[in-house]
Amino acid sequence: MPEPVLIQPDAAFIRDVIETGGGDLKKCFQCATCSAVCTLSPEDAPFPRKQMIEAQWGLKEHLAGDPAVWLCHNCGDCTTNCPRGARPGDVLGAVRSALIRAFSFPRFMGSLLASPKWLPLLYLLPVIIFGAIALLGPKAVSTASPEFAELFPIPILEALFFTVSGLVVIVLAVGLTRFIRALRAAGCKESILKGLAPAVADIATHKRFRKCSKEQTRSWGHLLTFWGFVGLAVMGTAVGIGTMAGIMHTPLALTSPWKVFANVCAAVVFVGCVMLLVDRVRDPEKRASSTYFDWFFLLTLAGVVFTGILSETLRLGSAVWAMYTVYFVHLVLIFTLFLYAPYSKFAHFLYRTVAMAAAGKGT
Amino acid sequence: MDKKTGVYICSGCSIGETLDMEALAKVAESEFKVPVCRTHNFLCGREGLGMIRKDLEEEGVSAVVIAGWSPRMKTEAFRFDPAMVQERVNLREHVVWSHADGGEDVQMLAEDYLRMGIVKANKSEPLQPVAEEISKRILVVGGGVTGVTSALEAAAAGYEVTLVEKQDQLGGFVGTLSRRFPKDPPYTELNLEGIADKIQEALYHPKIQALTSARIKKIEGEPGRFNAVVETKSGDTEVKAGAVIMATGWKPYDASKLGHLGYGTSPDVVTNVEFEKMAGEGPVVRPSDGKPVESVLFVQCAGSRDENHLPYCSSVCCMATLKHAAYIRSRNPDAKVYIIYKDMRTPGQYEKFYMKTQDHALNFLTKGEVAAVEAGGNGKVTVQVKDTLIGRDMAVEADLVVLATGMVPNAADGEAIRALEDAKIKATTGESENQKAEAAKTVEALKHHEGTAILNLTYRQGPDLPVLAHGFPDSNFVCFPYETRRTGIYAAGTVRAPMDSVHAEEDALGAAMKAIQSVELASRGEAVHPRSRDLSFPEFFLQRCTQCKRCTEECPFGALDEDEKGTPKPNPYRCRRCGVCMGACPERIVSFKNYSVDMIASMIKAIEVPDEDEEKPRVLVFMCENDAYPSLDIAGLHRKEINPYVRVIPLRCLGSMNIVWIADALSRGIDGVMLVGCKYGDDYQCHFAKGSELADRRLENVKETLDRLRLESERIQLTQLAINEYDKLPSLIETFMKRIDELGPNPYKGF
Amino acid sequence: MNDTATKHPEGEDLLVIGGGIAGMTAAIEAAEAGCRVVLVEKSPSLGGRVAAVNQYFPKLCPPACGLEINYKRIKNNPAIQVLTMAEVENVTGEPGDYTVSVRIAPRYVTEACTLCGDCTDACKVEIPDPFNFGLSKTKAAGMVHKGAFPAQYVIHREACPDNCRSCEAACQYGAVHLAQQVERRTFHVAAVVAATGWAPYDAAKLDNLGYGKTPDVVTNVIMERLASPDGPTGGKILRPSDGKAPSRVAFVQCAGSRDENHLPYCSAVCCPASLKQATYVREQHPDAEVTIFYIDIRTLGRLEDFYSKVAKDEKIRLVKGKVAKVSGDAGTGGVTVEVEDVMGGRKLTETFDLVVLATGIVPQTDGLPEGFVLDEFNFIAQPAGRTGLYAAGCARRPEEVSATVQDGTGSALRAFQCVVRSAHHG
Repeated sequence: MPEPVLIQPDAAFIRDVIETGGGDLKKCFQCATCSAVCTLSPEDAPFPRKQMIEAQWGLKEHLAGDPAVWLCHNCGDCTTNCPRGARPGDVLGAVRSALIRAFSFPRFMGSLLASPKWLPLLYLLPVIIFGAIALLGPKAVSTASPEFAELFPIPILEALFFTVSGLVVIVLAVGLTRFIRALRAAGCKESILKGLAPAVADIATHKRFRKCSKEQTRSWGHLLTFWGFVGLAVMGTAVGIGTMAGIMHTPLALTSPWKVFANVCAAVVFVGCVMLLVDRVRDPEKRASSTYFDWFFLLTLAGVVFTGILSETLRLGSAVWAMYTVYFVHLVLIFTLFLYAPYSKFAHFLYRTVAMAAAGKGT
Repeated sequence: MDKKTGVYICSGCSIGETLDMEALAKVAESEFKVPVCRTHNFLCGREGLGMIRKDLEEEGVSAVVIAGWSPRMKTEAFRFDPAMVQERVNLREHVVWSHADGGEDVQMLAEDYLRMGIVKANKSEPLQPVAEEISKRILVVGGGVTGVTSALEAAAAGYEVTLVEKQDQLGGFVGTLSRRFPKDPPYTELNLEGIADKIQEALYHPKIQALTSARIKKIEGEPGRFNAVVETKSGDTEVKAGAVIMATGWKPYDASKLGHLGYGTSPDVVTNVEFEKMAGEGPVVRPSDGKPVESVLFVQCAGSRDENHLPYCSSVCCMATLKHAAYIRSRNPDAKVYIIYKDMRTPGQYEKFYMKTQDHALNFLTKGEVAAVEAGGNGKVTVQVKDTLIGRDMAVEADLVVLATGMVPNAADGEAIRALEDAKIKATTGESENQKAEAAKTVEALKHHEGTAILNLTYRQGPDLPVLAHGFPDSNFVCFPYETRRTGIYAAGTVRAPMDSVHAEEDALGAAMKAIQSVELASRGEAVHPRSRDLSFPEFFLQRCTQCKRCTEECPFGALDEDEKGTPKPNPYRCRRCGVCMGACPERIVSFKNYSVDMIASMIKAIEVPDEDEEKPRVLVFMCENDAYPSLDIAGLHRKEINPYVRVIPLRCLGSMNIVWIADALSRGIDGVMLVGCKYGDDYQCHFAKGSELADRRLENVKETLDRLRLESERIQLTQLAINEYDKLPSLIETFMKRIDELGPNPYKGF
Repeated sequence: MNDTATKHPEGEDLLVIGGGIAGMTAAIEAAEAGCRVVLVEKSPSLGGRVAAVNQYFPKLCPPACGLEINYKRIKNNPAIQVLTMAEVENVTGEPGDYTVSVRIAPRYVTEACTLCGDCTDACKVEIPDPFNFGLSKTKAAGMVHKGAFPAQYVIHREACPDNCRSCEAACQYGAVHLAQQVERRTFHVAAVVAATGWAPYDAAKLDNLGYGKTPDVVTNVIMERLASPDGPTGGKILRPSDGKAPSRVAFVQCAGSRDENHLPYCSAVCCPASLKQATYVREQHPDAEVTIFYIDIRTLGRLEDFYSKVAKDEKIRLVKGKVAKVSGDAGTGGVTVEVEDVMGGRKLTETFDLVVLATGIVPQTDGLPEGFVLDEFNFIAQPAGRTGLYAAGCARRPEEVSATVQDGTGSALRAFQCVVRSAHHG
């Protein structure tokens, strides 16, 4: 047993958790039903009972350095069985969102993502940028069939998105170091690198996720979204580099293997997103417990795929103005998804992977 | 006066089939020449009853012996004049139902029982209720919430009350509270209603005489006729009362003994009682520097649930702390409140208040053991907690630490005080030196009882109620919580058990009810629980008293006082009619009109003891009529076989067993004597608290008798039996019979 | 002054609903102070829940001991009128002057009954014994239990085959009247005390705790019967499934209590009750191991002494942690319990031979006459001020026997006052 820790409850953290989905946090009286019913909670370090009291007491550092927070997939078994209505599943969700903000850099960005009141501001930025490009940007020579490039020149977009990605990578790196520092501070000895491979392997198959008794639709939806998205990311980067190097020219022909792959991926993500959305909307329990933080990420992602597919179809159908409008929205959403990734639920892909590695929970 | 005895034998319930009814009737008619003897095949039916009533009215039968079912059955149907002599002979449960096959032995058994019944009836006298002028005033000692409530409620029932409070005003601890625990739905709001109104009502109630700054100088007498001397500022007042309610409340556990929890190390470590006062007086500040308090830590079970301090749970501290958290909230929403508990104890609807307290963002609760409390650097107090729910030892800093100290009953141990007084005298006047030394040791051991007396009863057995544990008064506290061992004196509120003010107010009602009941029963000369409404009284033939003091020492209810020579001074209304004095008396001078040493002795003589060569042993079984006897009845209802050689005599209490009976039995050739009574010890089941234990102690002396008679001591055995152990009883008897067989017949047979 | 008490106009002074320990106490205490009391009990005998209990905590003494004295007090007191199989239909009037109508269901056996047992022998139908929660069988004609008061048989007519009258024919005392009809009686009283008591929470509603799914999961009330000499096993604690002596027994505290999905309040008696039942097991099976899973152990006042005494037994283990799952283990025939050992910081999955659910107290206050106010949990809220309708015992608050007795005694005084007041202007 380590020597006594000086307890200094972080009132702001408690309020943050309470306001972002953990509203029933304080009701917990530590009966431990939650830990016992959880199918993912390990024998030697059960959760979420302990995490509940740490959250009640505002022990932010304890939670920041506790991989268990990220091992939960929020299936809600604990919430249904809780005798006090403390909704541990939701509380852990809220704790995760609070931690994403806590790890994020610069921190004010985190708080912008925390509540809907900043939503207009978040969208204003991309709208201005892409508006400016559309109106002021140099126009490429028009070709027979309409192309997005006529309104949104490829070089500009590429420059823009590579910069954004660069920024995002740096910011995530900061977050990651903060997280790892927290893990070490909390006495986590495991080598994260060693754990990484198994963790990724598990994520690739979603084996743990499927252990959540109630979460079959969700885990499959998540798996599709995950793989589709990875595909698109790879493909997007490849094409980007290709065109920059002049090897490729967009739009690619529908028959091009790249295009086919891209469309398949898009379709897969789309199906995945729909499954996730349906799952949340159908079950009143989940609808109730879904927060702004959840919806923002999920809808942006779904929006990106949907507008992508739509704009492509419109392009092929040469519905010029409609196609430009939808594409504009598409771009705005992509931008939102990427630039805000470190501050939105998107970031969980990073923290959960590391947490699983740290906890040696890979397969 | 001259009795006319009627014997009525029922042949129903297969009694007739198993027994020879004529032979049975002959016992009554020819052996005892009873004037009226009738048998009937349905005695408890309308016809049978009518027959008996007719004899009572027309034949002038004045004493009845009813032979049939157990006396515990059909009692209502046979409720004749309670003063009349009435004996029951249990031919059904104890004879035919427990000896299915019948036969000669069973016939002998039945005839013996009939003989015993008739003998007892012949020896019994009709009861004459003692009806003396009594006072129905209720004396309430203690003017806290319990006392005031008792007084008001008794007055509301039409009784005069004298209320004695040692402080200069009524109200006690609760009078000082600004808020009380939630009482009404939804149980989440503190109760604002203080007891100021009650106090006013009590002060001006026409039936209540409230004496403040007063103490009880002495209480003498007995229920219905207590005579109390109350010392007040304006001199002594005499109060004649019928019953006493002891509502002397509690005192907080002495926190100076809680150094290990930091009390005394810093002015910022206070008790919950001190905190209640602080919070009552305005904003909560640090006693050390008067700075406003931003964080408070409550230590639960400070002294309670602790073998080195108070082994019991003080019951109120959890709720008190939750209440105190609410005090802090109402003043400073941003203050941090820490509560370290062993187990959170908020029974029943109080759980709602626990939930409410949990709900505040800055209330922090955890199970834990406080390891250390020391003054920290920054003017704060640091508390080390181990075994916490976060799985690590923690250190918490707080501006103020509140120790939730517990309740100590404000009572005195009457018997210990008496023992101290006795020892003091012996220490000087003891016969031998080492007797003096022994006494001196006792004095040393008990001297903390010096001057603790509260009620100052002038009872031979001590000035206050006997104590069961931790200073709480003795009683059969599960079933009959109010029945103390001092008749007519009822403890209520926190002096009886740790409880909160809501419960104390309710407890006050119960005690008032018991007090009223005891004066009402006394006014009719009737006994209180457990022999409620019994009209018999012990009578003392003092000319033959040898001042051995056994009766005065052994009476479980301190009913007997002594004159200077040691002669008992009976107080009939204090008496519970258990007959322990009768059992204790070596001179056999104590008897009831329907229960005496002579009666039982005659019953024993009525048993026909076959000669040795018949090989029919006889064993006498004395049974407590409250538990063991019913248990044998139930065995009968289950048709369990009982050895036909035993003869059962029910006793009011095993404590009324007089060893002379054992001598009588053995000298008559009875082979063994078994005593079956209630379990004794810390968790005694005896309704008279000490009965079976006393009987067991008396058996020590019997040994001498046995040696004199050159008999094995195993011929006598006391067995403790719970009423629901009817299934064990037959085999217990059987085992004893086997032992008796091994020992062989009593050599005194046929003498 | 008690003369005024008994001078209440027309008949009785006080009517008590419920013949359990609370109601019996209220009736007896009031009667011994001089009231005339009607005690109305809906079942065939008095004693209520405690009559089915093996031992009281903390003294481990049999309830029959105290009940015997109380029955004796009733038998010796003509001021108490006991009505069994009776229910109060309605109460009208005002404090000091209520008219109460009582419906008395047919018992089919009159006071003439001598307990001879001929009807039981003649009876051809066996029914699940309600006194033993159906764990044993009993004849449709018989006594509730051998210690029952009033000592009078009862016929479970609903179980009888059409036009079977064998019990009636068998009774030589003409005590069986199968033609008996519902009887209605009206009483005029000054006050009414409701002591309608409690029922155990329906364990079948605790779907994750295995009750009803595996025979070796029982409730604490059933455990009392298993331990009682007059119970279905003659007092031997055995696994219902195969009658084996259990070597590992688990107690699941707060089975339904302190749970918003079931009973949000604390039932107050389950902790000491389980500690007590642990001693039953240890007493009978010296090698058996007992584990009690709890959230908080709540043994207030001197019950703490009992807790420390029981906890000293090294074969009794107390684990902080609420059991979340109980499931039958087909393989071993055992019962598997899943729980977090909070203080040990580990998840446990252990197998036991017998699992006892410490189910809580549900107030029995449905169909109470108008005028009684219920709280959110259906407990009766004690009226403020001086009315004529009072409540006592577990109908008012979950509490253990001695608290119930105090409460019964207190309510007797409240009623007594009402009688006195009405006598003064009556």
